Amino acid sequence: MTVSKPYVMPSLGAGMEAGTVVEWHVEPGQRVSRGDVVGLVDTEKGAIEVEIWEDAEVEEIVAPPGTKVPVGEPLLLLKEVEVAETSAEPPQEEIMAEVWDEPEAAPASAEAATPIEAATPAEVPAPTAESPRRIRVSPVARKKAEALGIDPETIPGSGPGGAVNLADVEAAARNQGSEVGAEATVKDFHEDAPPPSPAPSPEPDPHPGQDRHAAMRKAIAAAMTRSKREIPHYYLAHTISIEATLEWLRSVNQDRPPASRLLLATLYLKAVATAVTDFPEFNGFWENDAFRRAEGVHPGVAISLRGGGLVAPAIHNADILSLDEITAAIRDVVQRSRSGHLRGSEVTDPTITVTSLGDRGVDVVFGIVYPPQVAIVGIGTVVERPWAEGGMVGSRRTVTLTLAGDHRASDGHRGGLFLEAIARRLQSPEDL
Amino acid sequence: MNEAREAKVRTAIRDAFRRIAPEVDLEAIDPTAEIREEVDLDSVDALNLMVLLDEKLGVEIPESDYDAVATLEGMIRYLESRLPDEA
Repeated sequence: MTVSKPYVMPSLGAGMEAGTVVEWHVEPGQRVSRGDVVGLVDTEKGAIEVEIWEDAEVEEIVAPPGTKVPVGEPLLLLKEVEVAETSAEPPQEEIMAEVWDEPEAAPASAEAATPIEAATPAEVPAPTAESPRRIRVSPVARKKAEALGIDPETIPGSGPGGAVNLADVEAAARNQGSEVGAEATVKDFHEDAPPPSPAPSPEPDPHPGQDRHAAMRKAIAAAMTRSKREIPHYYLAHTISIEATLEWLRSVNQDRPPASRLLLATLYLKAVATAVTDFPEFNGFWENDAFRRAEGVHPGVAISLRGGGLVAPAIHNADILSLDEITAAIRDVVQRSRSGHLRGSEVTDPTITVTSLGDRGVDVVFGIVYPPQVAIVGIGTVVERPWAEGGMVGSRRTVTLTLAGDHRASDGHRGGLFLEAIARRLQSPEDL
Repeated sequence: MNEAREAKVRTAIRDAFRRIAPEVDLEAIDPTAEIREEVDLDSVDALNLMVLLDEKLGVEIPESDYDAVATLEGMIRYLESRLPDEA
């Protein structure tokens, strides 16, 4: 039979504490499939599309647009669509009460389910109610209502079967002139904090202009400070001739229409992604005093944002994608970082970072590892240099590859071999 | 005739920039300056610009002609002269 479970605010990067719901692309009763983008959440790194990771049916929208929700707290209530029969099916409210009270707990079990009354021991009949008819109120809505001094059972419900949900409580609060607004946060009442000061507008932009910039700087500051405080970095650099690679790229691109052309960044990304399969200690995460290998190779490609800040969305499984597929993926994430939205999986999945200064930068970049990753490969701008080879000095176009590694997870010797492996692949682009 | 072609090119360029550099005011930039320097486009933005112009105007700019389209003025002139005739 059906079991309800919450879809919670995902952590979309190191140090993220909360996000604000911007919009939902789903409504109660709608079926969703694994991988579907279900809504848009505003974070310090901009608005990010959040995806769902199972096939389910949306039962209720717990956090309507405008709500700020801490990581791990419920956004939606989902109904499983394919579940084996259980011997005793408890009333749905009971499960709702349990899973909402403990959002990080294992899926609800019938034995452990807590009746909804337990959460509100002092439940009293609504004074205006003519009969003791039971009105369904979602636990989150009930808590919110209590925090606001509103009797939830006097509110018209818009949820399934007329149930009162969080949006109804907030709407009622607005109608009563209460000091609650669209900026109200779920965290507020979890911490028994007073409601925030009056909301400025019904459709707030949580990070307009300068605020958005300040929020991103704060997120970068937190991640980089943590990195420099916790990660014992070591740095390696290797300058190579890239003449043959550039000539190969030129000849491949000359007969192709723009939409099929390859980027130099494509070759960089593929070279790193394939090389790291032989050096798995650079592809993964340092967590709880130990290294955890990542299962796939998902390099994050660092993109400078116009107006400041940066993001490094993942190119999933870049080690097995073709050069054409990688190019399309890079073009797509860059364009969406300019005028569109990145997805949650793109910002959370990178297993190693690649930062390329492109063709208008400087010679060398020394990266800072983005925790909990353990390595960042840097590629400087192509520079023409005097180059000695076979006893002759000539002119060659060159790039300097760098590696910043977490010394807890790897050592300089292996780091050097890894950089050399990247260089070798980059110099044989026809094999990439 | 020429004015219509130029207007079509300018509209296509403006639409493309709205995707890759939404905050840029093309009217405000120096038409004789290197456009990538003026508005800070990286190599991926530059390729996306070529793809969008190809989609909108049907003009494929080969890499060997990138110098000719390096400025806004040059880009308008280049695209206008290669715009396919309306059927």
